[in-house]
Amino acid sequence: MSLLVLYLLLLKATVTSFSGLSSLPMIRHDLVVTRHSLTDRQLNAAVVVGQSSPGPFGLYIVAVGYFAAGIPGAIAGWLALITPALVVIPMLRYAARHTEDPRLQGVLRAVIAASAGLTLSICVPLARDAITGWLPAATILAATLALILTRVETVWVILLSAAVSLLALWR
Amino acid sequence: VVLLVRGYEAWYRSPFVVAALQGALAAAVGIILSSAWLLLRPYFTARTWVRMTALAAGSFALSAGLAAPPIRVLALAALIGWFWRERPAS
Repeated sequence: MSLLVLYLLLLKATVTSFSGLSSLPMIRHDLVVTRHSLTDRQLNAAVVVGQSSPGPFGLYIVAVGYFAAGIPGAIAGWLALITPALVVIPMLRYAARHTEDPRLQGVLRAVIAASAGLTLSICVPLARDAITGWLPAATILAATLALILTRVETVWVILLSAAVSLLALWR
Repeated sequence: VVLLVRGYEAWYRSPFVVAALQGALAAAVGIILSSAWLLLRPYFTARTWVRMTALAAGSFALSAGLAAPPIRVLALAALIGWFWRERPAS
């Protein structure tokens, strides 16, 4: 896969998502299911790396680019991540004029709801890969509840989960 | 990010790293699950919950059940959002 195609696929994912991880379904469809450039395990690892790194939400796209095509792929991922920021100003001008339009608000909310549904759907294959016993299953449940019910940072959830898994190895 | 990925690639065969990664990968699934809810939560009101639930559940079914490409699911949701209007605030 050429770097331009990788960049355009990652860009398609970033411009059609409304929060960092809602671009995941698009990336999985294009790079895991259709082109086989990544495995589910690598995609999941990219999320771990992205969430463990300082910086903006959605940084996992750089790791996805790296897994797909090495350092040049990471650069393509980084460019795909920053490109939408360049179109923010014209979008803000458009939004300032149309945000009160109830039909447009309805469309945006519908797309956000669909993004949430798509994000949930990607959990099925990733969970299948991650659940190797009762401990990972319990970890998924605990991490989900902790992030929904508290304001804990994702990096602490990842570090604690890794530590618990290591402790279980030693027991 | 690249340094962390290289660290992952260099160490992912070590049994200790494999164990730590299993926990981290499970946490990542939890992060994705929670992000879906956190994305939906601000728009989940008494006036809109039926519409939001139906659209999220429909998208989930289309993607997980029928393997529909995400871009088509989003386009369909936008179309439904245009015609299926939210209940006006009373």
